[in-house]
Amino acid sequence: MNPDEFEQRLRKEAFRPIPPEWRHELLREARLDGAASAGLAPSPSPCNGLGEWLRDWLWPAPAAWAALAACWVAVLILNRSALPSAVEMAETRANARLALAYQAAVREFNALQLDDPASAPRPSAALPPRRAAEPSQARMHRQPTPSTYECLETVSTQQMA
Amino acid sequence: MPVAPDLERIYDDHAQALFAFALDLTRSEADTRDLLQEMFRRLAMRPLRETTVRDERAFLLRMAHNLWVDQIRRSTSRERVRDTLAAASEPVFAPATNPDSETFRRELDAALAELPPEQRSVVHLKLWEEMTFESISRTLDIPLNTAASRYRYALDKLRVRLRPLYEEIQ
Repeated sequence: MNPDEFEQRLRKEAFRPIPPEWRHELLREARLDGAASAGLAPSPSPCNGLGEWLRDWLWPAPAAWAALAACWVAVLILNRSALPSAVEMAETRANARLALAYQAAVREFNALQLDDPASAPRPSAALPPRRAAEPSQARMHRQPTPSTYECLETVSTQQMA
Repeated sequence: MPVAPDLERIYDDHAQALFAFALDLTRSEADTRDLLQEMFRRLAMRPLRETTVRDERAFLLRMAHNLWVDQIRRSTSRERVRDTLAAASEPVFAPATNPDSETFRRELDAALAELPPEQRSVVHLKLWEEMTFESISRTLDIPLNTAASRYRYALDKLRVRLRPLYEEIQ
């Protein structure tokens, strides 16, 4: 028995025809059910339209879209869990306030120092180290800055005293 | 209220194929009618859209198969249904005028009824709907290899069962 012949023989067998009266009956019942559901169904709303549009849009690969949505949810959860806790946030804020207060104190201290010439640093100490590396010619022709004058004045006052 | 033209067209294009498939699965004209009625009721409530259904026939056959599975789950276990089907099933083939052909059809009918429904559905789609295994696997939601192996097993059983008669009438 040739397999192909056997399959061909089976294919030739015809199934019973569908009873002709079923067409009218089935379509009538379907029509009634369809009309009933249309009567019960809410009127088309923007939400329904959006749902239809989303269904059409997602249809070609609903699994892929679902996987993408799952990835986004996972990213959001991870992002959420990586945020600092309330205690850590409070600690950071307190540290920031402390740093600001320290900066303000340093500024005040510097201002006090500038106002009081007696407490100004000695010229040798005030000179930055790289000034020694300057060529002597340039040092000679350089105009003294007000702070230099102040330093010299302080030194001469101390010597006179 | 007139019937939606699309529903009529679907009936005219596919009802015979759906009837044959459902009858082959259920082996009962009453169950087949219930199944088709449920199908067209659903189609009336939610019409097919060309944008979403690429192969209309395959979609409808899949729908019929799913409804049949639902029908079985609702009624009783598969095994009991299978036993019932094998014991007393309605003929699915049209009567033939030739006595040899009629005998062969009766034997084929009985042989099909003895097959497990999973194999019978694959055989039906392959032989009488001339679907590819790929299309069958999509329609029945089974792996491609499963569809091919079910067809092979089923055809072997049919061949063994029908061989004497087939060779006699050839």
